[in-house]
Amino acid sequence: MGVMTVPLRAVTSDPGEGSAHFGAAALSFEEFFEAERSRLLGALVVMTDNRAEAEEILQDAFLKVWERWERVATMEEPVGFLYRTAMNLFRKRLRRAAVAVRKAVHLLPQGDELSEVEMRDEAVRLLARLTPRERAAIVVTAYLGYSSEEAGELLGIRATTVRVLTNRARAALRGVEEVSE
Amino acid sequence: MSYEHDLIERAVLALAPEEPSIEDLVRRRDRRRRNQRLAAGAVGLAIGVVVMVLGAAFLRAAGDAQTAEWPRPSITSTRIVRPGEVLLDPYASGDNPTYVIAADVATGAQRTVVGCKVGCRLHTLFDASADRGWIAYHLANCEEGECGPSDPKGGLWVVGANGPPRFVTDGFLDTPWSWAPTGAQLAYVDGADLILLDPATFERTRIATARGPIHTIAWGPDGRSIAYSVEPPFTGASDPSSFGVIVLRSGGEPEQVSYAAGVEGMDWSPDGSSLLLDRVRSGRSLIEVVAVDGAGEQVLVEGPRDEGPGAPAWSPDGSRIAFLRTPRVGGGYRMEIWVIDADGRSEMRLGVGDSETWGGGPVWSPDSRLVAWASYFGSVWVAAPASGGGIPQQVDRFEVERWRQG
Repeated sequence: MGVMTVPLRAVTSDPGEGSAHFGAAALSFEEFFEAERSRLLGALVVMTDNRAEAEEILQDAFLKVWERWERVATMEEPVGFLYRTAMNLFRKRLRRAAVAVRKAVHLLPQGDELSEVEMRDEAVRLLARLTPRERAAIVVTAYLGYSSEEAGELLGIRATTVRVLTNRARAALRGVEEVSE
Repeated sequence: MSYEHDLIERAVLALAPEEPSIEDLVRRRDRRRRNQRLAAGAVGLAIGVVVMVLGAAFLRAAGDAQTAEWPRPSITSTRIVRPGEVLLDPYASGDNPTYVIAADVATGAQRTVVGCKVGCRLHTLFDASADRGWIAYHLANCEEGECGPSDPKGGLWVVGANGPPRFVTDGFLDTPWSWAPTGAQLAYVDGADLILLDPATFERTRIATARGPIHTIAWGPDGRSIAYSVEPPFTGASDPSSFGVIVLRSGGEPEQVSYAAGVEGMDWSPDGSSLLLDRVRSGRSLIEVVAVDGAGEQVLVEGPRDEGPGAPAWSPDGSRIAFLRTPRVGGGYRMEIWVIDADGRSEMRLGVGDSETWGGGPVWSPDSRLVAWASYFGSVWVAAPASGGGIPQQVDRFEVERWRQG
């Protein structure tokens, strides 16, 4: 589909914004998308343990960034904005799911689509032992390389909570007692 | 690299997610927009019914909203969209795209009805209430925690002829909302809750709570029923009875009419007896008709997910359904407009769009004789006889907007 040059129709009334920010050296959204999609998708698929959900969140996050690209491209950390957006969407989905689960009457235990297929893989099996919050914390810190403070900001929780969650996750993954920081 | 990093990397490789392309992003965005606009179009077509039903009773809600009559909307005497005006997508005309424009069909005079200050970003998603007293629109701005002191928050807003815009709810394109075909009631979704908003008083009434996230909503043509689709929750439930398509009537209990998941758009039949579902199942796109009395469902058309069918629209006389296909051609896609009989017996291609991406439509003329569509870039609308017996011709965009907005 040859639509690489089609701008998303979000608009701005700021006379200072627009093409002035898009010098030859500026990264285009398409380049940004190509550069960042794999890593983010990898993180999301582990966090959600669900391919379809990961792809949904990824696409929604990039759509949001695209929508605001004129502004995002001028940020010091456009990648940070992308990850914050993706984590917001992840949290929102978790929250919605939690609300829905609380309100539901006849719920069955979840049969995750990946659990049956990929449980043979040790890494997937180990990560599946973690709670969604533990998984998110360990992915954001150990895989994406954010500090506890940054991860707390991304995930909307306190840095101390991130540390607790990552400690628990590490302990569970290594099959040892909870490690102290 | 830490042990955990290596472990996660191995898991990523094992899970091997399929990376979406930028084209997937474009299709996703277009699909959402056309479903939003389809909902808006359904409102427009139903406006004729408004006057007849307006006098009939909306009783005030009492007790638990799920079984109570829905509240009667407040009456506003001032119209933000004046008689003879239609709202225009400013991009389509190349005008200042910051604003929503109202244009007088007779004189062509245009005026700004929604605008915002420096730094404000409007989506092209907007729609007027049936009584023309209010406009709802998406603001693609900052989110909570990111906004500066003068930045309006991103999300859904409502504005009337008098008074400042008011914030309704946050959310991106995935927040379904739709004006009632009667009066001025805005239905919108907050997670698993379906809420009615009276824009005059800003009173909110929760009329339904689903067992999972609500993805789409569609008002019935009588303005006293709403269909909504519920997706399986992100985590927790796989009980088939917890998702599907549900119809809620004012004063009634929610009735599940289908267990379909993956519903991306819905449209009521003009007589209110059936629903059209635009959905995805097992990598295929489907258009289905579901009887709201529980008499069953029928797949009308299907195809590969990326090629459609999609954006179905029922003709005002109820006899046919127009929809899009985007077949792969060479290295890209081509937009095609098709029509099928409501009973699924025969279908035909009416025309081919001049762009790979959708720009509007299909939209039916009120007499059900013409179907119009537009390309993504185009301010040019094209209409073809729905019988398939004539050559597509350019039509005035005001005319199409009048079809669409009533």
